Amino acid sequence: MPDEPPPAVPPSTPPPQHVVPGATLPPLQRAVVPPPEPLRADEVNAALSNPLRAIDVVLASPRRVAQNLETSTSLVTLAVVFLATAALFALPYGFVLGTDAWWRVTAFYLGSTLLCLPSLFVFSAYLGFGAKLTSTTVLALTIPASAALFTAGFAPILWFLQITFDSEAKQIGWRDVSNVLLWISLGAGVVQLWRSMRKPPVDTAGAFLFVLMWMAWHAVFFYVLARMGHVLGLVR
Amino acid sequence: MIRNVLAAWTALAVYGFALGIAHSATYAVRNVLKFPLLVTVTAVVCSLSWWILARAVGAPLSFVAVQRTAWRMFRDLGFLLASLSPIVLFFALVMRATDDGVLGEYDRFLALNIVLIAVSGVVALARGARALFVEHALAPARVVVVMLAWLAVSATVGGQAAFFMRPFFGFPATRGGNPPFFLGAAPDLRGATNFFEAVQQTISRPPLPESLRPPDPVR
Repeated sequence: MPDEPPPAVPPSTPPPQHVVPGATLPPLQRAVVPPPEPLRADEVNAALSNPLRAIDVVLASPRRVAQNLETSTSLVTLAVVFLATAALFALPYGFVLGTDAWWRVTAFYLGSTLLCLPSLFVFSAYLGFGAKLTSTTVLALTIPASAALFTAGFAPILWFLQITFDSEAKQIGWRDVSNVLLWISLGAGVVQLWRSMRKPPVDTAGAFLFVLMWMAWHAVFFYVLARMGHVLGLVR
Repeated sequence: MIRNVLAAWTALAVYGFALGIAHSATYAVRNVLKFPLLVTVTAVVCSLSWWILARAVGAPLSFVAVQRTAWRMFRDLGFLLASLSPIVLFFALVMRATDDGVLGEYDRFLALNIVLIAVSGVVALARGARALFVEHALAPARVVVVMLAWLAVSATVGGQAAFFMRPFFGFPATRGGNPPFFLGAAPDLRGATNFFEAVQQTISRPPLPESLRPPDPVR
């Protein structure tokens, strides 16, 4: 008896389904990643009692902050944490710039943000994005809070550059490097804001308007920031 | 971590000695202290920013874990450079025996060592990134961003620290004198007073001072 070839399909395999032309295909199954949990009240409160925990709240969990904004969880406490972070963590960099300049970095980031906050709130409410004052405040404060944390990290570097640079360097002085560090910190803050942002509206026109509003607000914010930097003598 | 620190110091001291012998025994002995000091200053000044950058990228690393990772990379860098020390020593001795007493092959030797440090640094960084990826189960993209951010910060601080702690090997015309342990912000050959100006001048290549220019070839 000649050897028979093994069956191509095992007997247990269900028979292939025939696709009838014109019939609706079943939707593709996509892996659904559950959204992260919002920051719990005790986690946010911990950042108030231990300032180092602010790094976890402000920097390390932008998607969770986005969920807080989405579900309106612990927003007032979050706003206080972000405000305190923006105010306190910029101080070391200010002290490095000069003992009389300790408040200037805080004023640079936080002051500019607070000046632009009303316009952000009014425009987003007017354009129908359902913005609440607390959620808009938390989102806007993401920039100065994140930037302040970055400046805290850069403060030892600036101090080191300050003591090792010739104070009368003709081409590149430590203040030029400081300018770059301040703009890098700002960039980190802006990136963090976009990472913490809620989902834009579903319809295309709404999403376009949403992005357009934020771009316009950023333009105004950068202009205010640049002027503030000149007034405070931080940016040349 | 203490073991990594000691290993890094020892290995870098070996490399520093080989480098300094290009000028004189004084420079070689000084480099035994200077190279470990250079890395230590860089690590201390950068430590906070490394941690904040890691947290910002979403790497769940504690402050101590970041320092441990960084020092492991410095140890690897030290080992790689120490393994290259015999080659550097050979070139240094040849250069010292054949130089013209003015500038000699200073620029070429400098370029060689920059290449060696850069290559060793990249290899140590790649291995450190792989360890981070495996030990902390971080996404590869995050590891790359963390590493690039750390590299940028370390290069900025380390570059300035190295400039301040000059000379590691001076050019031959300074041989026989008693140079200070650190030249600090004193202008270099082309007038740069800090690392950033030195980088700028490396790109724009302003002329050397008259006294250090090679003589015109005799026709």
